Amino acid sequence: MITRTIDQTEQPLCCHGCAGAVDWIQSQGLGSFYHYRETKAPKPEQQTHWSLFDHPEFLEQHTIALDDGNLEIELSIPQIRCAACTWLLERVLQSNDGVIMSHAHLGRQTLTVRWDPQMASLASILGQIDRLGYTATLLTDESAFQARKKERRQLIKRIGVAALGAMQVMMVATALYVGEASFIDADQRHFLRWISLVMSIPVMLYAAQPFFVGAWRNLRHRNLGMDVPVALALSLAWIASIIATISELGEVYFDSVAMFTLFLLTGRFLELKARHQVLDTPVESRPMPMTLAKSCGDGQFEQTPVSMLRPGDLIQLAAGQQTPVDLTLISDRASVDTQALTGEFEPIVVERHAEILAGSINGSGVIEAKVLRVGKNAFLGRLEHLARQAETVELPEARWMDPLIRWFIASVLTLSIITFVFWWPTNPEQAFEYALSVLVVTCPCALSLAIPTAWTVTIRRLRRLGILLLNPTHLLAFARSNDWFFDKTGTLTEGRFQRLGVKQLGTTDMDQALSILSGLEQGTVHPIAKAFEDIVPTPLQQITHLAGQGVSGVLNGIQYRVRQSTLEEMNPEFEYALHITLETDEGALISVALDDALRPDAKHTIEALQAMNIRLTILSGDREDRVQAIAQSLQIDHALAQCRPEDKLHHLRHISASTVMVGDGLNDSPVLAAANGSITFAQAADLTRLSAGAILLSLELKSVLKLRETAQKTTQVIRQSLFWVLVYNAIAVPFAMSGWVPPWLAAIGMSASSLFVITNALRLNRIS
Amino acid sequence: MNAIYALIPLSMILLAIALWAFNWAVKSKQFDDLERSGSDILFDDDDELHQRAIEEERQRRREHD
Repeated sequence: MITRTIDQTEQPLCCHGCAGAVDWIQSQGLGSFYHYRETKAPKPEQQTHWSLFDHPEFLEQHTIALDDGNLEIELSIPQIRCAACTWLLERVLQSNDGVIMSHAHLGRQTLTVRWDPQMASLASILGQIDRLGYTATLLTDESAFQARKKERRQLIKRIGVAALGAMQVMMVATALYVGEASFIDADQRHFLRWISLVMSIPVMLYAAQPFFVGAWRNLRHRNLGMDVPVALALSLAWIASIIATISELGEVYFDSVAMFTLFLLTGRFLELKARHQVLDTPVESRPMPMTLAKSCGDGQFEQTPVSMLRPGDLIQLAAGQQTPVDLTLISDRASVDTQALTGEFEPIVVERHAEILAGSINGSGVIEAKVLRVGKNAFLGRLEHLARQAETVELPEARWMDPLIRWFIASVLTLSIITFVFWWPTNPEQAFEYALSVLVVTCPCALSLAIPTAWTVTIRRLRRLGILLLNPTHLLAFARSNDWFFDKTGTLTEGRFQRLGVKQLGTTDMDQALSILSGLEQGTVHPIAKAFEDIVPTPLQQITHLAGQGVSGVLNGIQYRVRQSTLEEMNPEFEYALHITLETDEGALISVALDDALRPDAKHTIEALQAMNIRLTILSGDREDRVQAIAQSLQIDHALAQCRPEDKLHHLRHISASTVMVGDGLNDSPVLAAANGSITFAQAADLTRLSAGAILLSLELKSVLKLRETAQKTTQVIRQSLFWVLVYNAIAVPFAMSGWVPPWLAAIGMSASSLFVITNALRLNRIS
Repeated sequence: MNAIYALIPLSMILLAIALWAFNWAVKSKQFDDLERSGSDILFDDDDELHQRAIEEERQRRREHD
């Protein structure tokens, strides 16, 4: 056994790669990594082609050349999981003489490195990261990622300005309030008002800008959004205060304006952070290869970075390798695993000149193919484009709340006007002030905080439960919908072959035959091999496999072959399954029935959902008999087989207005996008994941129960907060309309209301 | 009370400095990672062991050249 002394204790290690990483970390004097780390360290893998990344063309495409001649790159490293990782990576890289700066980002799991190309190379940097056991890959959506970073930085700046400004203005306001009671000198009052006017300028013109921009956009689209009353209240209060300051008549509201801005920006930041956290998190999926073997003529192949491949290049794809570009097959035939694209686990056989889409995995031996489309034009690039479109869609929060918000805003505006019109004939000086206090006291602040704060807390909570919530608007459907739809393959079932039964055909011992079969299958990347992973394989010689035609190998001079079973050999009990037979020249030995099996937690989950009176339906593209078999074993009454994506969509829309869909294939994407609430699994294709509202990272079906429970609590908390806002307004507005609410009281009411809403949302954290 | 005529404008100068400092901090990416900053204090920048290891490494390289 390999052991090393880590943090003063002897620890066993799994392999020499890990031991190498430990030795190296300790030789660098960075052993305290093990003391502070919170999660397990990743395991190093052998990767040798780093020198390719020093190619000038590659460097030009992927690095930023700085003015002083240094280069900078931001890499995605999904294994960064705690602060100790960031520390280790930074220290190790910085001990290189040529590395000027290295900064790891824990939240987004990225590493920024700046180096002097004269003294260090990208190859040596990547090599060192690899030796530590981390895998660096290029960021896929660099520009969107940088844009989000910029948006966040901008908002933080605005909050800073609002906070500093609001503190100063409120300090002066305190002096004014106290002065009011103790007969302040008119000169001093005048001076203090001017001071608050000056200090509120940056808050209004810079920090509050997003509200004015938003309100303008709303009005242009003839829509009454949250920003309209906010912008109206802010600008009216500010302008009125300026007039009051100059004319020395009436009240000033500079403190309310500044505090109001600060509160609203904070709410907006919480919401933005929650949304970005989801978008920035690299969902761990199979990493795409960064290099492919490209032909350089004369039958030689050379590893080339993927970004340097051009359509028409001849490449080689190794067994089990996933292609990051679209290909045309040049070899005669190939077996291709498209599970990432379709969700179906049975591989398809592709003939010469057929297309292989990016994201497919080569399920046969080494194949040769021509590059058809690269980058943005390849299948994955097109999906990414769709993803980005989905990302820029306006936050649908408004849609959920639309009727309520519009009603609320319309009544606030009407009430303000009524107040103004009512007071104008009798008391023209106060009319404007009273109308304004109606606007301020109604506090759209609490209303606009109620939902984002609850969402932020829920997103974090679900994250801890292994659920990634992509679209919080789906929470309502998760909480309330009583019509749930399930895909079959990969959702209710495991989505891979498992042994259902073995039938003995010859005289050979069954265990021995299974072990030989396992030995033959383990050499292949065919999904059938997974069904034999638990059997110790007997090593065979001369293993050969033909795409779609089985495997053969030699043991002790006897040739063994695997082929599809004939009808007589099949086990009648598993009629709908796939049967394979192991045979020698003497005859057949065993026949094994293989099929997809139910997830271990499927039964429990379905029963729990049925106990909540939820109507369940299976929507599957699979054959009738297989779907019925699954439906019967789970006691689901409604099951529809052989559905095309459009059929699934039709059924879903037809049955109910509020639906939840759980699915994992690309063919489920349209239904997932159409359902009010949709759930998928982490290993699904990108498009599927982006069509869904929630992703189960834990890969356990039973997580949907936790999701429903959490969603119910969240909607309950949101409803409480909204109820509070309405009650508060019902009480406060009549007072404000009758002119009994001075500005300071309006400000206190507004803050108390917002605090209540935030505290109520935080309560979601404590519910166990 | 006349002191406020001098002190408040003075505090506004301080405010301007604070705004400038905050802007600088945001620009130099100090607010980019809000999760990590909390544990940064645990790690010693000039960890003695690490510094010694770097020195040894340099020494080795010099001898190697």
